[in-house]
Amino acid sequence: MSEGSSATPRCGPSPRCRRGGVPGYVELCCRTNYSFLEAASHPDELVVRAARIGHASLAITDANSLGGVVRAHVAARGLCGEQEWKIVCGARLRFEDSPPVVVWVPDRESYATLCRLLTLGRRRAEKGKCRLWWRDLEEAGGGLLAGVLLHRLFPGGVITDEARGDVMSFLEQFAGLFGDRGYALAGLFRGPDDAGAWRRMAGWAQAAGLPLVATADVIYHDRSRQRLADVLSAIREGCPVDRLGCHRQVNAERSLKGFEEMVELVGGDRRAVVRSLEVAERCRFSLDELKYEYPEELCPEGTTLRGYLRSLTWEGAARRYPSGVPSAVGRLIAHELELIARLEYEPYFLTVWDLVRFARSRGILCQGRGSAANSVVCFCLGITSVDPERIDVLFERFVSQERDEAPDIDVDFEHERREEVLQYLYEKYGRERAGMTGVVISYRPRSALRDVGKALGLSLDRVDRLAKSVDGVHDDCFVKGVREAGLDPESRLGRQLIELVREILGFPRHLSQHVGGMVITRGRLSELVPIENAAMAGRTVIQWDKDDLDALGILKVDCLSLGMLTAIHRCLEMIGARGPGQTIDDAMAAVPPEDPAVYEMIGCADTVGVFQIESRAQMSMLPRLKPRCFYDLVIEVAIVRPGPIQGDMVHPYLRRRAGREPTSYPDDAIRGVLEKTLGVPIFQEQAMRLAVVAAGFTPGQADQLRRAMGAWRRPGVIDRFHRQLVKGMTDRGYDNEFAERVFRQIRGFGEYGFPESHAASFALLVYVSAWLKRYHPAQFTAALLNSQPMGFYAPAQLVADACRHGVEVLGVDINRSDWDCTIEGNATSREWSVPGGQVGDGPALRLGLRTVRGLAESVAQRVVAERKQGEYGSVGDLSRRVGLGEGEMVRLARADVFGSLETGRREAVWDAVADRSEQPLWGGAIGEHPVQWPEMSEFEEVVADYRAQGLSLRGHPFEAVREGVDRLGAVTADELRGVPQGRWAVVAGLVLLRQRPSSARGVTFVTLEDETGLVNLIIKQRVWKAYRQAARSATALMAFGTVQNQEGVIHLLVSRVADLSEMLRGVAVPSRDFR
Amino acid sequence: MPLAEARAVLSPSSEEESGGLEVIEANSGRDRESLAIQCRCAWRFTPRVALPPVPGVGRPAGSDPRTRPESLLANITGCGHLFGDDHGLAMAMQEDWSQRGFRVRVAVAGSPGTAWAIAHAAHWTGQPAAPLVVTPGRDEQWMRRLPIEALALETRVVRTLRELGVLRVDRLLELPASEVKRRFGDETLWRIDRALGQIDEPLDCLPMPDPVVAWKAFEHPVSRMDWLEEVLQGLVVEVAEGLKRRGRVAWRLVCRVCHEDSEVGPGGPGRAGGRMEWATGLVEPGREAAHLWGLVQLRMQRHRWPRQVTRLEVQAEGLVVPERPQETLFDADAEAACQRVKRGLVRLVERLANRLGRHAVAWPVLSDDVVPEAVVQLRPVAGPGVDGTSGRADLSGPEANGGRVGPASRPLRLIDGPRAIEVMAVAPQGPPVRFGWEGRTCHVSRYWGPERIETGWWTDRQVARDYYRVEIDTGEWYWVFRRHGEEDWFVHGVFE
Repeated sequence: MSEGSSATPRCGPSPRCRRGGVPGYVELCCRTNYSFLEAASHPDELVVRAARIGHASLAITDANSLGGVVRAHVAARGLCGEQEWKIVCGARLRFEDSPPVVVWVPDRESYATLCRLLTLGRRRAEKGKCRLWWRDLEEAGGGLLAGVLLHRLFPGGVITDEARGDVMSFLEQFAGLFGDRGYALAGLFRGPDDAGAWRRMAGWAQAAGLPLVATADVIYHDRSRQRLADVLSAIREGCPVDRLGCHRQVNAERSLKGFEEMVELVGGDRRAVVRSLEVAERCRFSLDELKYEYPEELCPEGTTLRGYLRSLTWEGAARRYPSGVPSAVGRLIAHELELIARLEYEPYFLTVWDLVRFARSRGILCQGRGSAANSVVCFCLGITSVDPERIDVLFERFVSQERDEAPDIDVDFEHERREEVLQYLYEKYGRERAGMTGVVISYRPRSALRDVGKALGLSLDRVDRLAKSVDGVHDDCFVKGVREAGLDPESRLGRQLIELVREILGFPRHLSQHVGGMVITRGRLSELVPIENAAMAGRTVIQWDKDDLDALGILKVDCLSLGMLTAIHRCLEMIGARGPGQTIDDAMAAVPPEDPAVYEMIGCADTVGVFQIESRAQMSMLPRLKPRCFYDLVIEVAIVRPGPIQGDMVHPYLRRRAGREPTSYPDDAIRGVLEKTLGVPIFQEQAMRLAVVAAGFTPGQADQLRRAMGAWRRPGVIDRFHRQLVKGMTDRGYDNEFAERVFRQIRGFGEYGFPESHAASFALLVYVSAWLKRYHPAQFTAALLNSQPMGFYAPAQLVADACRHGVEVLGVDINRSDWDCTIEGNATSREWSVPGGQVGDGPALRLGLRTVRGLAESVAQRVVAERKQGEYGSVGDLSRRVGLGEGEMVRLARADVFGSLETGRREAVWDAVADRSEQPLWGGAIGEHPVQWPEMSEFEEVVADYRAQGLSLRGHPFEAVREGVDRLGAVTADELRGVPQGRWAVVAGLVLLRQRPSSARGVTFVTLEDETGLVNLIIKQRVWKAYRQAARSATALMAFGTVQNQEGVIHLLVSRVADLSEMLRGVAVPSRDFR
Repeated sequence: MPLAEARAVLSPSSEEESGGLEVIEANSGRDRESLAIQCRCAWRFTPRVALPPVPGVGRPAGSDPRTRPESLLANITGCGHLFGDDHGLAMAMQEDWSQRGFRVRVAVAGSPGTAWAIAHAAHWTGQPAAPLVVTPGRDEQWMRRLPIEALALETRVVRTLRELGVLRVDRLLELPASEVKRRFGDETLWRIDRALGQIDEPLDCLPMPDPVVAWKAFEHPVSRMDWLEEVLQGLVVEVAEGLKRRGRVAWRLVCRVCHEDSEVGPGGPGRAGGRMEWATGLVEPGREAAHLWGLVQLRMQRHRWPRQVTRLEVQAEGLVVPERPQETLFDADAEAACQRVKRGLVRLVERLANRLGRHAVAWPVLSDDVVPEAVVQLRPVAGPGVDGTSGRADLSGPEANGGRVGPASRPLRLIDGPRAIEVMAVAPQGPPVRFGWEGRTCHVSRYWGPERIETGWWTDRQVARDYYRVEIDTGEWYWVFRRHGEEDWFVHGVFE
């Protein structure tokens, strides 16, 4: 190549400036694995490697995306070097009508252009796709730099004369559009004739007047990722690697290359290599410039944000503490306000405050969860409800100076009304300024195995089996699972499978929608980040996830939905707890605290329907823990979590609480941290504080430690903290074993532990729901039923539980029921102190039409509305007046809703299917030929109820077979309570659930239900395998085993099971008529 | 039961690969095809055999169990006496199928509807599946005792009736017909009538084909080969003419030889006499006598003939209407020449395949593999006539799949297995400067490359090579490579 290209005068720093310095190279065309399934390296791997081989910066150019650039930016920030290491932000644009082009961002303005352009293309296409035309680029304008990929213009390696003409006209078009901002990128990959290809490309560039720049068109950081790149292509193309054909990597030359290697590759054309620096230098833009600009409309005119937040906080404090703010709390408020002011987070607090205020004004229950409850300011603003006097708060867990990340406030709203809150945000800030956060779905062990297995050509069958048997991939279990699936882990295939699965783990696979994260901006959102379509019609999502936003300090609020809030709201309304002029929050706050009767109920594990502590694991803990006060509930919520269970903290805590083990502390510092939980760390904060007091971490470091534990993909980071922690502790005189144990405990918290503040927020709801259940079981059950689907139990169990508590439950009736379940009788008794009584003296629960399976709400509402004109007289009457179709009529008839008309189920079904359109012609009225239907047996009725409604008030299907199972020696759930520990027993029941928690070492928990209650089975792996078929698929089981009765918690340790499904089905579908 | 569940149940541990479960996709078209084959077997008993009606043809109705491809309907009127009586015929039928490995249920009744219902009743009642013959005139009595499924009603109707406690046909018949009609429509009444035989239901019987076959039986066993060949040739010619008369071409000729040879097995002399059969497959269907006879001859030579032949038979199978070659407007000569060449090629492949076996004839195909040795692969030429699969053989010639390399960068011929060479000097990071080849020293004057090929990691023949095209001082071009990591050099091809 001659001097031709330098003829064009160029603005910006020319390569001559650097001529005196070290010649270098910067990769300008590099995709990360956020170009889903195209590239085979994480952004940070690329950055680290680029820095190591001497690049001064790196351009990240993902395909139609800015998905990977934030991660790269964060990684570049973390590099230790004298000089700031820069990421050139860019994208590879693909067009429907012309070859791809790489663009780079020189300044904030053109960054906005790029975001807009990508948003345009993404919004046009279905989820995950992008459709751009060359015209879009022309119209976008702006100052983007661009490079045309010359080596992509003749992918076949050969170019005909005809194609040459097309290439030249495209290059001229490109040069015309970009002028001195356009470059020609040329890549060589050790093809058959690199020298010839380079000559050809250089010729084109010269003819089009574009400066030639060398590139390696990188898709992985290191040669060793060639295999993974092949596997990703195979996944993308949906075929095994050996059929990839031209999509295969011919060699491993798509990795990052150093200066010398590039020069050698392009045959000594140093200028084309060095010119990459010029492009990089023209790109002055850094993602740090995006530092969040908060919305402006947060405080009334004439006030400052700071002053406004201050006054709101103190006003709130005065309201929270009517008898004067305690001095400790006052000090905390002052401390927090000062830190908030220093970090300029006022707008953030005001945004969330505004949101909560809106929800309150609409009567929507809401409550902050998570670490926000560590803040007294949040408490005073009404964002959270846990009095900081009741728990220890650690503000640094929430906001820390070291972290310099926007604080994270999650707010729960009633699940059926969260949409209103989202709509408010959209309305207030506009669609162009508010948007949903994305979630990057990454490869987990199972999905990784599935995709890699298929790519390596394993049969679907085998891949499926393998995927099911595997929970993690870093332990020997994985290797064992591979062997069990009939694959030798030592064979080439086995080895490659294991290695590739481990390598692909954590690779992003696609973008999804976050459950409730909202981003709010001052300017247009689409100029901050590209927006794309989500799977749900009309929903859009931004290309960045929560961590990306955190890293850039962009404001986001998590608006989550919580079914229990809906249920509590409904229940409070039903019992008339909200007095005139009161808000629903006042009603909730007025629930009398620390009622011993409530704790007594909780202590008996009588908690079906109660928030959080209704699960099987929680219920088996309650009688042992016997909570007696609010703080016990906080512990209860936090302790039954995978973190504490895996860290082996539950049993020591229980032993110490029962006084069977002495509580001791190595020294007073640790006593200070762990005293309230008897020396066992149960909350995340405790784990972090241990790191602070025992290992000398700063609070900020401790938080980084916690985050590192969560990022399970990065063993290196954890090791660093491991060393620091153990060294810190041994330096302070603790023994090594203790240090290791603390580390293990902290590790357990990484992903699964609850912070104390969060547990406390939840414990509030636990208490309120338990109180409602204790004193208003009918209303509580109705509210739960009306808020379905939610919680742990199906309506049948909720209703059965209500019945056990003496609530009279009335069936669905066409002339009585509303859509929702309702209360009949003295529904709004305000006599709170009256304990739930016996049958008959409390209000009755009337099931609503919503319990009829498959019935649409609109239909039910029409039925209810028409009823105002008078009750329905017959099935035909209903059909005529409401104009229901046959399907709806049959659904109602099957659910036996005509009880008040004394029309039986069969009669109703017969009438429901009658064709009424022909009636006038036909002349006959219904019932002209009355038919006598065979009486249904009690059991048939029950089965029909279950089919139509999923529950029955007539009884339990097991009552019919009780005699049969009695003969086999089975006891009822009730009788089982009387069987002493260690004795042999047989039980039988419907299978409610099967669970195999990862923390239980292969043990399966099965819950059976019979007509008297629930029985919990423990099935060890050996037994499970022996009776696999029955254990897995039976709808009803009989279990034989020994009773384990620990402090009132009863389990059956099963040694044999038998399938009873046939027994029940046999009665359901009688075969006695057949000859 | 969902498939995944079935798998989980059947393979408690994963010792065996499949868990004892073979999964076959349901395919009602195929079922119908194989039922049609069973139809032919039923012709032993009666010429009037019908497949179930195709769903949606005739009456526009919902699901009709009678259309499921699982049963055959046969009219055996007047055939019973050949097997003693109707019961004897039913027994013979069941015997016939069970010998061929099928489990069948046979029922004889006065109408197709009742027969279908009773044959299926064993399924609903769990009765053993003995053949059952309904005494004439007692059809309805039988039907009344059956569950309502026997009426082949729509699923929806059956479900509702069961819900109402109507489980048996007699119970349903008690309901007023007008009320039933009002709820379940005319269709339901019609189906009830059909099941009870109150509707005359014509069977759409499968026409019996007339095979193109020729045979000759000998009064005394014949052993002279020349006689037999002559007879066989005559039969082939006869079949070819038969094909012509019918206007068909055939995919296969099947020759059957009946003989009286005694086979001597390890346990002493076996039973005397038997039948040999072999098929001559074509790559393109044809009927030209001379060509067919040539193929049969080649095929025959692969077998030892029995000594005592009593009967020879030749049958043409896979009859199709011949494709008329398209008329060409232009360049008729070239087109015709092309056709001739192709025709000759087909003939050649047919002859080779019949002489050597069907897998012995292969065809080079350009693959998209980048490993030079694997770029060209041999695929067996498998015509439908040759290996019995359906679909045509692809003789259109290999097609270039847009390879990534130009024609000039590969030698036309590769050396079979790269040959190691001794390299005397190497340019830094480059090709050999001097190397020994076929006993002389070659001096490299020009080179292109390296072209790096490293792939195949998922196979046992992983390669990692740097290829060079080199020109030596005497003007020849070689394709040489160096293995990565080692300093081994190989010649892989010579440019011509």
